[in-house]
Amino acid sequence: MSAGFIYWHPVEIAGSGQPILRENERDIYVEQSVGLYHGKTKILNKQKGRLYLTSQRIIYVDELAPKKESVCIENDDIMNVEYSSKFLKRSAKIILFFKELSQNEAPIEEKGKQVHTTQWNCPICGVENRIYSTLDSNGLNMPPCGSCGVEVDRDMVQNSIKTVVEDLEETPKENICPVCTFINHPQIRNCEICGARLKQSRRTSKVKDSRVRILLEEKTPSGEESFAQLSFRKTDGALFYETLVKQLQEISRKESKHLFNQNVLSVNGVPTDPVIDPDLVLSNNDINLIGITALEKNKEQQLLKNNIVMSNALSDLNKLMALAEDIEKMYQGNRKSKSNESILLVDREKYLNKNVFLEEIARELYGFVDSELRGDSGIIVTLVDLFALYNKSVRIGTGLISPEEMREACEKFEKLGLNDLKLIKINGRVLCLAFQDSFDHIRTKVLQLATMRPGVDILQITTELNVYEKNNWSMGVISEVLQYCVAEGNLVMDEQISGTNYYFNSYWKV
Amino acid sequence: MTLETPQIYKFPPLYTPQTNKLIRKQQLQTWESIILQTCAQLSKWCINKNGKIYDQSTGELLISIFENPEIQRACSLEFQQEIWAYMLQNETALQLKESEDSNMIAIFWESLDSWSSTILEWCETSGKLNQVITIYEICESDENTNCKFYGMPSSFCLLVLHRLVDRNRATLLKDQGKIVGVKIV
Repeated sequence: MSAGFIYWHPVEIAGSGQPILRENERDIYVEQSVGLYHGKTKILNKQKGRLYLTSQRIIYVDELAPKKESVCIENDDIMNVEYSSKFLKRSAKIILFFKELSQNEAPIEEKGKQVHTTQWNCPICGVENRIYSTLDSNGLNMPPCGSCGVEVDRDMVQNSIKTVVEDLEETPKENICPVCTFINHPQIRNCEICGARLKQSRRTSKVKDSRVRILLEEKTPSGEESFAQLSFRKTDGALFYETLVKQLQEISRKESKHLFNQNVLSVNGVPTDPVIDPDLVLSNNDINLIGITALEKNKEQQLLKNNIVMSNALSDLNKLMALAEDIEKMYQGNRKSKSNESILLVDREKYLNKNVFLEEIARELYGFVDSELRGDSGIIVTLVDLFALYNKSVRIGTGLISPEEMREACEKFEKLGLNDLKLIKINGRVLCLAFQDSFDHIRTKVLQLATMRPGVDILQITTELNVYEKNNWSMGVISEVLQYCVAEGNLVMDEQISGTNYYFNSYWKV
Repeated sequence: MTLETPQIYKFPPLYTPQTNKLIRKQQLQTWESIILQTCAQLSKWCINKNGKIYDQSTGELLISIFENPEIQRACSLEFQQEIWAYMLQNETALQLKESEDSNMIAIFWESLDSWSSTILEWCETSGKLNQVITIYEICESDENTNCKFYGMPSSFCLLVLHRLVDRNRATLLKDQGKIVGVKIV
């Protein structure tokens, strides 16, 4: 495979067809109906899919085979983007130019490459220092000691200087995450635990990941294309372009943040942290003055005081807001640690039309039911229950959805290829979401129970099913199933003041 | 005498009207057969609408059909009425109108035709043909204690005799508007 494909990476897709995000990753924008090009040629098996722009990646999720064909591009790899608008039959495209990895950084990795290491002992603290280069034989500047930070005179350490030639292959290729210190596999580029970008990895991943399948329309002679194109079939993609540019700027700003403007007090004359020392002003209070000047001075001081009070109040308010933000972060952090993965936020504002939004909601609903509610043997949940559960546990903070929206979203499952979950109507009136065979399953279970223990009531059935099966059948669903069985004739009722008991119909023919 | 009740009599859902139409129909059939069977066992031709059957001589309660104290279940009044309506429609029961007590219902655990032939047969064998006999003689005479129809209430007996009249085998004799005798030919 040609080296040009190294920019494509595999991506994990959840059963609902949504990408699984890394920790600290958040999604920014979603675009529908997008096709991918590698260089100038079409990638045949990736022509219709959704594009998720996240804070770290551009994720392509294929419509037809989301598990197999989905790929992503790291935002860090992108050097530049260009937009070319729609023209006649040509759809709007965004061209992504990649940073050159293969030439600048890869050669370091040449096999058998040898590295000179210089060692010396610090005369102050005695620590053995190592640097990966040869020292200037006549140069005077020695690097400062790594432990005590004192720059030493060359003469003082002359005796301890050793130059060792090391084979690079022997040096530990540990890939330590700068954020969480997890030691990753040397070829991994983002930390497996926290998702942070790994510094070392740049030089390694020169090989195309075998999990990415790319079929090009025509064989290019070189294959060394260092750009890719995103083709927007339905929309003009302008919004995506804008957000992408913004995101890339954000990334570059973050990279340079620790270099510039650190500890500055004011930028262009505007103080970054405007705090006026109140003591400085108040100390002038006891100057005795008489007459109009005194009044004027007094007035001035009054104004100044007011000013101080106001600015103090504002800074207090700012602090309060910061605190509130912290609390919010903490709350979100807690929630994250509970589910142990980042949540893809399906935000209304990211979607241009309602249909697309509903499709995304449908995926999210599917994922929610699949992960939270599904027991060993499937589940049925009434839409009313699901509405409350979903809105309470997922939608808080991202905008609740209405009952109609939920219903419309549920009706889209089939269209989206999420065939496991179905919208069914029990007894011709109650809408439920059910895994395919779970209705039959629960029906036979209920019948079995009624046969084994004649005269069971709904409460007993519910506890029995939930305790022994470790499932979450709700009473409402069970009652509908019972009614279905009674209407079907397999169960007969015995109505008492204390409640209704159910018996298996062993006497009368259906 | 202990009453034999079918197994289903101890099935609690029997006492609740079932919602499924097919099942409900079978349930009514079950009730019908229970009532017919019980009346046949006890030789009761007419029973009260509330399903309670008393011993004629002692006045002791033999059975209350619609209640089962053993499993503490009972039919609701509405359901009882539904069962009666079903039996009336099936002509296995008849509301007695002339009777002084309108709550009495005649139960045909054997059909009127079969009763009328039984009586005819009895007349033929005992040589009562072409004679005027009283209804009392048929139903309560000491000679007939072994007959199937011994103890039949006069109101029920009249129904049977009317059937014979329809077949032109009997003539009813009236005295002061009241039927007192019958001549079977």
